[in-house]
Amino acid sequence: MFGLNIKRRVLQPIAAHARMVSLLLLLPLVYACSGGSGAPTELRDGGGGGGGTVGIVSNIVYTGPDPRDQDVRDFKLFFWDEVVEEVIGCANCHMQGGQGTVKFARSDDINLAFDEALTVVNLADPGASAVVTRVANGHNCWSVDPDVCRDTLTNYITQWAEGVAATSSTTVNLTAPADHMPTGAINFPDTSTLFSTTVYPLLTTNCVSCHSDSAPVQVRQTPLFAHTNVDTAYEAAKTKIDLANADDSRLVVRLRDESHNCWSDCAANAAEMQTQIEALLPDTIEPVDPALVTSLALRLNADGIQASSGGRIETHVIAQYEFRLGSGSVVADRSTVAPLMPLTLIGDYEWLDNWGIQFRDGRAQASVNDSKKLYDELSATGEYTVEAWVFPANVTQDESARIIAYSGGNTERNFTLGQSLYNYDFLNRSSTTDGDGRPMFSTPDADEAAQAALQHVVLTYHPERGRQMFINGVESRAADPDPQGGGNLSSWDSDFAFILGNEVTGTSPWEGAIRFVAIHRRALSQSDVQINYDVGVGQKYFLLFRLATLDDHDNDPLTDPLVQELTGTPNSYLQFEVSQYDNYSYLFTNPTLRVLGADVMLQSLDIQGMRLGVNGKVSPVGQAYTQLNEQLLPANYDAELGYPINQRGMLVPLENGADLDQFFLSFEQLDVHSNVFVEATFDDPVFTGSGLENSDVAVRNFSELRETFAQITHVDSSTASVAATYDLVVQQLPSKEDILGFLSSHQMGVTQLAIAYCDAMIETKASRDLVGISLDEVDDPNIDDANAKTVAQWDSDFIDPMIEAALNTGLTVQPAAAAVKEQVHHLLFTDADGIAEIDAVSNPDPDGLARCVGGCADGVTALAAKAGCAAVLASSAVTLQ
Amino acid sequence: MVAITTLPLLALPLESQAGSREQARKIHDRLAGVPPTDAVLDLMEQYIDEGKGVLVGPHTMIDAADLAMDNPAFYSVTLKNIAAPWTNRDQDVFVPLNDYIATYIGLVRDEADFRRILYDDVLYVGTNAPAYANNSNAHYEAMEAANLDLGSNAVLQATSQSNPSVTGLDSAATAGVMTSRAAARAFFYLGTNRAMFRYTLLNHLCYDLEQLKDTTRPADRIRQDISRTPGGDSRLYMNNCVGCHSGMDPFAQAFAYYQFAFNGDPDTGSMTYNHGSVEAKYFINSTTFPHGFVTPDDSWSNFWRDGVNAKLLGWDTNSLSLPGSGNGAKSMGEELANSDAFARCHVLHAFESTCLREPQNSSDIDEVERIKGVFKSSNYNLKRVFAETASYCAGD
Repeated sequence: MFGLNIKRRVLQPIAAHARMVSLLLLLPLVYACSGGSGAPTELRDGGGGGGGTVGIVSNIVYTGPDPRDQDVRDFKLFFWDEVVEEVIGCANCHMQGGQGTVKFARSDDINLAFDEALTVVNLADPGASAVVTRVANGHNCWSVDPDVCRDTLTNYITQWAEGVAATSSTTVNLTAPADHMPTGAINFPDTSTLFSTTVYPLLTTNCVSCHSDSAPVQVRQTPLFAHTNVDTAYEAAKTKIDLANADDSRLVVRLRDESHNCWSDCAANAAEMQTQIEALLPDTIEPVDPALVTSLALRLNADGIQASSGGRIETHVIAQYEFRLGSGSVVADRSTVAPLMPLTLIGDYEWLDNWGIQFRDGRAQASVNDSKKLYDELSATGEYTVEAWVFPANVTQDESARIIAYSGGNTERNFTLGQSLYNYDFLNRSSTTDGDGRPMFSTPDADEAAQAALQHVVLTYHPERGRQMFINGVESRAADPDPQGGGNLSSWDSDFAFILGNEVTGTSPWEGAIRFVAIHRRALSQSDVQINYDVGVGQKYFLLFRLATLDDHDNDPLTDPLVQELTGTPNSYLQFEVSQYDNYSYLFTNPTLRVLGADVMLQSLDIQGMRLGVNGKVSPVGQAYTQLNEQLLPANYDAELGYPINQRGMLVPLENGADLDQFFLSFEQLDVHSNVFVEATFDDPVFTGSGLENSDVAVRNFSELRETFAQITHVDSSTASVAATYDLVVQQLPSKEDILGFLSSHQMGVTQLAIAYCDAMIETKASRDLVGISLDEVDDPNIDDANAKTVAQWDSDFIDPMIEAALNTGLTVQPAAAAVKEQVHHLLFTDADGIAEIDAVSNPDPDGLARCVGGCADGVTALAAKAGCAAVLASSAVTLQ
Repeated sequence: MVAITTLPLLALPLESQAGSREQARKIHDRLAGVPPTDAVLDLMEQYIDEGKGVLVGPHTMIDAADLAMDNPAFYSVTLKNIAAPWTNRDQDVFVPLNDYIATYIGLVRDEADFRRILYDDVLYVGTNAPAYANNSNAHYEAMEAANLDLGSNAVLQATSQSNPSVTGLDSAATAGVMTSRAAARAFFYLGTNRAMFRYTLLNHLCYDLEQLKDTTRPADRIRQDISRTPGGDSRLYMNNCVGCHSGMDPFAQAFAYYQFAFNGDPDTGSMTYNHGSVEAKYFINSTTFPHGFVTPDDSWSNFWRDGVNAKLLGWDTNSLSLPGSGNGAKSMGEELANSDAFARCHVLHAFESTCLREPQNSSDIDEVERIKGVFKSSNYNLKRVFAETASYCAGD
């Protein structure tokens, strides 16, 4: 097995907290010392476990002999000082006189404690230490999450092992994973059809009271595998079904081993569930395409090497939430500062597999008693930092929806981080603000700082600088600092509660995911914030894909499988940084060539067209390295950094979960091995018509009407009067030619425009002349208007030339000129009797537009002509095409 | 103002009678948008009859259509109305004349190789005052207000964008109407410059991104600003976002050096081009997905040369050995302009403008394909396409 150590800088080791009081206090709290290695977590302050009881030991100060050498000094500094802390509590049993077998916490002689500790730790592999295994299995873990205890002790031992000289780095030991060829996998059926007749009926019959959207919110439990929508239920159930071993499915285990809400006999219920799961799953495995050039295969949880999350600035963290549990209704405080401040989840929320909680209308709240830790610690220092990784669900939530709050109501708070649309808001009660923390300090509107994306949001309060906000490592309003300035926190209230996702009153819910929260009792500097931002959030792994294949051709168990290297450099691996991105995908980034067990590449390597495969298949979707085409040269290989190939990242769909999904790489070219990727072929496109029936008759649109009128009347469209009318009515004219879209309102616009053109034509002699209209009385006051003209004169002076200009001759698709003329006659001359000519005897009082009772005033001719013109222009004879 | 009663709808046949005169009238109506004079109608009828062999003469219906296109309204009304919605995001037809529309009109009028509209160093400007300005559209608005005859060479003239008296843009940075001021105002305005690609695709290839979704294209050029887990659900990204962005982002990279700069009123802004300097808009929201693509230059790639869109769009249809990648908007425009979809799209625009409907049936579809062939074989003379479509829809 080969290995490679990567040194990573860590700027601050976890420091032992100040120990002020040189008293050994025995407090009268009941405390369980013994603990088997059984599964259920023993919470010391939760009353779990039996055995003897002792008081809690706190505030130990070592007064024994000096450490005999540097190793013991390291032991004391990095391990002993930490584990005797009250919140960790090892001293309760493992001090001299205690009930614990191994006295690694004894306070009378640090050298003896060191010797004892060596029997329960593994300095070469801290994670494998017996003491770590014990707490991980629940032995007196001080947190609701055993992983917290495991990680904390592992961290202490790692720092002890690395000693003072190594405290500026943590080491990631890249060890070669086991060799496995990519195999196909049993996959869930694509649709929920079979699920609906196998597992689903059992779930809807027996689990619907809690695991369904139909369950009351108060008792509803995720995953909702009994959801009323079978597709949704299927997706949820997939996460609880073990494809490889149906009997290991959580749906079975919960009934069989944990007696979780069995509906009759647990063993029988579990067997029934297992039978249905087996009926759901296919029997056959789809093999991997043998033509592919593939790497060896890996699984995330089994083969992934945890990337160090070290390097964070967390010296002064007093409360920290990483949301690792993935289920339940409690969020563990992963700090080591007493009292721990676990949060209780209420309402509509969902755990995220990649460490986080999605809040819809839920909250996570600490008790007032526990929350007092914030009051005690922060009001003592007078400064603080609230650090969070958040993912707002949208940028439409307003009114400072509460993301993180330490408050007592809608108008009383010590501090709050809120979101208002694109802004983050910072409220802090101090000597320069009111009891609600106002005036509010917000990111500028123009920055649109809050995005529906994963963001690192840091609030700091400093007695001189006041409030500051950092978004993704960058200070917001750096040039426009808190106008309230600094102040003191003496007005803080110790009776408020710490809460995530809402106000304590439940009236300001925030929608989004929170993936990390830490409260520091100091205001972090810009550089500290940047460091924490750079570290990121969530667990990252290294996956080392071996560039080799396995050959078992000779069927000799002694030599099979034979590793066949695919490159000229043995033990070449392609390393990816991998994390679970959300509940539906993995994120693969930064492919880097590594040669394990050597510091050099022996030969150059051609690499081209790389794809990531899952469970035997290479999905075409989302591949980000297909364009890769590089020759990696030995001279560019760095023994420590390897050979970074690409900084791009890609998402790989989650299929069966991090335990089961098996990943591999395939290449179009890897050294001399090639497999030409063939794109799918498609037929020529087939175009089809709309199939609609359209009218062959259409109406002229807005500008066609304008130019038609202009052409008929010889009035240029740039003429001020017609241009003004056109601008006024253009939106009222038909925008499209489709006759079916023609409305009466359009006709009104057409008429107005027609009148404008006719007005301009009749009033302009040049236009009249061009059209052939000779209504001289319009301009000449000496010529009588209207009544003096006979119909025949009107025809020759106006109507005939007007119609001739407006209509073509000889068309069967247009009204005949005579028919149009008749209509104009009716408009200008006809009264109720239908008589067109004026006559002193038979028709002395005509009422057509061109006629006046008792003689016409000046202008009537023009008026009648304009009306006749407009009647023609705005008619269908002209407006249709 | 007089009270008016317009004439009632007079008896009109709802289906055209397919005599030559009626055909001529229809061609004129559909091409120019206005009725012909009797003199023009007579001549068009004669040409059509010659084409039918009723009269002896060399002319055809296409010649009749050419007569109709001599009417200035063909340019100021019909062509303007086709191109106007292409020049704004709302696809509003009620917009003033601008350099984008004028260039479209000019290229049709001059029977130019119409592909140039997406890549050439060409712009049509008027002789009127005020002169063309990089920071104003007043030149074209004045042209329109004066109702100048855009069909006249004396009014609307071809020039180079790189001409210092016009945009003064580096000739290599010109790309037809994509680098016109109007296009920049609409599509380089704020945002990420993806709009320029999307609307060019929509208006010149007649496809919107939704119709071209292909999730199988490489995702390596999708920029950092695209969330890989919108709303916390990466399935949305894998099934939807990646379908468009995988193809669009590597195309839109061609515009990396362009920006529409303005101070206060965007209507007084102008397009800027800084060779070698990727605009900041390409890096906005870079923390949304830090592992996404970081634009280094203006190189573009056509990932749709493979996959389902390869045949749908038909690349390098003129066998010019175009490589499917390059640097800058000019070569990218050339890639688009030589697609089969480009040719088909502009035939469709002409078809819909002159027939006043989409192709309805297989006969229409076949005719569009035939005219597309004519378009290509006539060296992309779009005016000929209008004559062809108008003739087809004139009736038998």
